Amino acid sequence: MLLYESTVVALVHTLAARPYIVNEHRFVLCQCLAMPDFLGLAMRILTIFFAVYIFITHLMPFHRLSLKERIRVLARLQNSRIAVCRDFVRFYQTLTLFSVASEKDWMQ
Amino acid sequence: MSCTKEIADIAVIGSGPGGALTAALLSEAGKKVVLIDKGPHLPLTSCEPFTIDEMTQKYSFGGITVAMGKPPVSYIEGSSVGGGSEVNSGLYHRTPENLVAKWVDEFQIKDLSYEDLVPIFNKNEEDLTISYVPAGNLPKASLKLHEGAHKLGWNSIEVPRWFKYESDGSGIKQSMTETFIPRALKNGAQLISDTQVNKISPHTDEWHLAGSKKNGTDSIPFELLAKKIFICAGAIATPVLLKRSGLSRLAGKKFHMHPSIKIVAKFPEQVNHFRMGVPVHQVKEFSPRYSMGCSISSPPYLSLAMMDVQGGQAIVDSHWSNMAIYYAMTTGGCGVINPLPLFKAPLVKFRFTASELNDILDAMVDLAKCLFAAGATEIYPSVQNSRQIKNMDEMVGLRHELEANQLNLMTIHLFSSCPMGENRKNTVVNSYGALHDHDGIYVNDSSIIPTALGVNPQGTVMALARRNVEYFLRGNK
Repeated sequence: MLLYESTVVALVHTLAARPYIVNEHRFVLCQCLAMPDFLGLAMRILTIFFAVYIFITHLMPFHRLSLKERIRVLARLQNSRIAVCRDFVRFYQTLTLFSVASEKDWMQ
Repeated sequence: MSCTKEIADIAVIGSGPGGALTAALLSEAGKKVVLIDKGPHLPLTSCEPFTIDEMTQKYSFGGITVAMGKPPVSYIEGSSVGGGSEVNSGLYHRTPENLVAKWVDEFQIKDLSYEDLVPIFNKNEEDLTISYVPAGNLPKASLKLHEGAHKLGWNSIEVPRWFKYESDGSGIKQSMTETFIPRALKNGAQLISDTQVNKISPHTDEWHLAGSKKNGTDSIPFELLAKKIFICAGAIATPVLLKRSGLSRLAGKKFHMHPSIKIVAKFPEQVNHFRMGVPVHQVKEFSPRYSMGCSISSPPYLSLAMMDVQGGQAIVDSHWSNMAIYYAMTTGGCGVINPLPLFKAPLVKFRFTASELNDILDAMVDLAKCLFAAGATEIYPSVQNSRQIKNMDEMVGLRHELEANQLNLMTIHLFSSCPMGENRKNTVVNSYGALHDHDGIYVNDSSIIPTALGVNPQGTVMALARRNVEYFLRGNK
């Protein structure tokens, strides 16, 4: 899998905070393709930049980090003073949350 | 049709409420009509309404569309055949009477008065079976808003819908794929779905339409010649097509929407259930400055609305049936739509004045007041870093803390990107939708509505569309 896809899958499963389920990352990747092309390109560039940054700072790709470490990385970005860092996580969090909530059995 | 140059009497681009009605009336009058839509032709029942499946199947750009600004405004448009009518709540309003007079004056619209529109409203209301929810089937969450307004002495109304109800209370939304599109097809119109028109250019006595048609995962070139064109692609796509074709400089220079802010309210009793349906009450006490309503409140939507609250998901998990989402809808702000070179999607920007932002905050505070009056024990405004609010003092405190970029605004009502009228300083089309300076091109969708309405716009879109088509069929340019 390419660096971009691997990073998105890892981001989704970190934000979903539950065991690996294919539907969530499939939905998020699908929406990333459907979104306005200039926004999609910007998100792809940001995601790759994020992946490379994590590789440089952790000497390991984001998707190979432990779940605990991935959660820590995202929490730091969510609390960052730089708006683009917060918006980056928020984008994936919104899609992941909607997907997870849609999969849930609410009748129970 | 997709690769050859056939000649149609009339090409209608876009099959939403404006386009579907236009195609139906023209084909019923014996015209050879080709109806083109960028989205797939799906039945109304292809997915559950207001779900993730609907988002992937029927929302433009997967529902991830945003007007850039401070704060940004997320917006949603329908993208399948039938357009917005396939994904909206189906709430119906006539055009506010006072607005029509204002438009005539400011935009110099000829032959338009509320009285002239009444018979047109009547025809559309009959065609769409405008009706009220049968007694006993009103959603509790909707009634709660009505109760709160009643306690405060505020004007609150039940809004009718384009819905055909059965005796058991169930019903079918009268979207375009259920009404005007079958009528158009029955009268010989040809529907070409999955086809995007990118450019219109003059070609001897006709107009040449060029674009692409989806063919599996690929796309093939699309071309068509038409004697006349009705562009009904929606408030965003219509001005983009006009601009890309070099047909109008004013198109998209200005547009309006209904920026809305949401509040989640939790009540001591159950107000929500799995098939709650569409809430129908709206508080009009402060209209046209702002109005309030109840929103779709399914658990996934509640989860999203509570995203900014610490521990929000746990609250939804355990209390969702006592919770519902409400909105305050304003009319302020002004935007601009520009095509981007090398990209398919346009850049949409929207800005507010300080006073318009104050209106949004005031609307949020009044909505909170109404919800507490209705018995809400806690509320959660949809703002970044939101928190639980238990009374009006806390709400007013939050209002004074908030900065513009913390507001999570959204809308599904977009219009006014190609206003109608004879005033050449602020209009793109004439009083009947004909494009200024070009023969044979008409705009007949939400773009031509001159200003923000303050009410759900589909009734106005369809009334103006019918008026303009009837004028066209009387042999006028």
